[in-house]
Amino acid sequence: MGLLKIVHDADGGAAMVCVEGDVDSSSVSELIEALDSGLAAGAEAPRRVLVVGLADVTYFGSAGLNTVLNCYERGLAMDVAVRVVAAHPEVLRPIQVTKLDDVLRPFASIEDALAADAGPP
Amino acid sequence: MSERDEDPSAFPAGDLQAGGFRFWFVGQRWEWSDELARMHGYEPGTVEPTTELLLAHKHPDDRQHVQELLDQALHFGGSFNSRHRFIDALGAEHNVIVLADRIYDHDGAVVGTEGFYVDLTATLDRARRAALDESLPDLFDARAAIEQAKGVLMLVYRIDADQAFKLLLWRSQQTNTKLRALAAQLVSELDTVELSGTDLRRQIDHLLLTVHERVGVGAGHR
Repeated sequence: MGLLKIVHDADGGAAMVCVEGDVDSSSVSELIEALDSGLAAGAEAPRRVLVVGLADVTYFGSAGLNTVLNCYERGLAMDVAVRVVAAHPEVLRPIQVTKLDDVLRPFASIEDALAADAGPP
Repeated sequence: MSERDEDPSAFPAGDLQAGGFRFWFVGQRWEWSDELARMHGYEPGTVEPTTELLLAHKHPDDRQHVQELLDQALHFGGSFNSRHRFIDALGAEHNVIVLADRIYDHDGAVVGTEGFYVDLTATLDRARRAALDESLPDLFDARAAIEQAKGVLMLVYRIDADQAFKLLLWRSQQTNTKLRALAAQLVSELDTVELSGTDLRRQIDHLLLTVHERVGVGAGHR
């Protein structure tokens, strides 16, 4: 396969999965797999956080939306905080028009996502 | 449509195939009308349409899943249309136009997309004869309006004359509106369409899907 470029990483006590490419129905299985192992890594990580970096995603439709939403919900059940990073319209627009930004609350950058633990000032 | 429903269509149903669908983004859940199930080669109620099932119907030469087509509603507002091919359960290829619009919930969130598949594949001789018989009394006027409307659809949807006729027949059947009245109204409203800009197709989608509401409303159009 290899339709998506996926990088697994860890930073500041959080697990991280960064995705690059078109997330559509033909490539979504790669994202599902990556987020599954990301959740497992997040559960092992000291801060129980998984950062999902979507900044380099070039197409994002309902297949991607559902996969990220499922990951977020499974994270809740596993006590892993899933933080989505996306600031460009290709990914943000589908999240916003469906009002899933109330749930997924995308972060503008990986730094912001990692800093979110600090909580409100 | 509702108050005109009791008047059965002038056209044999078997000749005109159009079917409705809904697609809900979260959960990627599909609903098919009975007509759309039959178009895919199933008796209504015998299969549950899913993303996986639709993948099995994907035309081998098409990269795009029909779902990606509908995902347009996640990225752009307004109605949209697209040509699409699929293989039915018996192995026959269908050429369809998919016309769709967004579904909103009470909070204004886009929760899905709904619309119609219009099958441009099947033969339409019988439907064509029935329609022409209907319009025989004033054949010349009727034919002019129908031909003009066909020309508009041919240009906008990149289809041939028979397929354009089929689209008009579908709207006529769907709305129980006489074909010539529908065509004449459509032609009379062409001056409301803005030619500049990129949404010509969407405007024609809208016109095609709503023109029956204004047939015989006297003063005509907005």
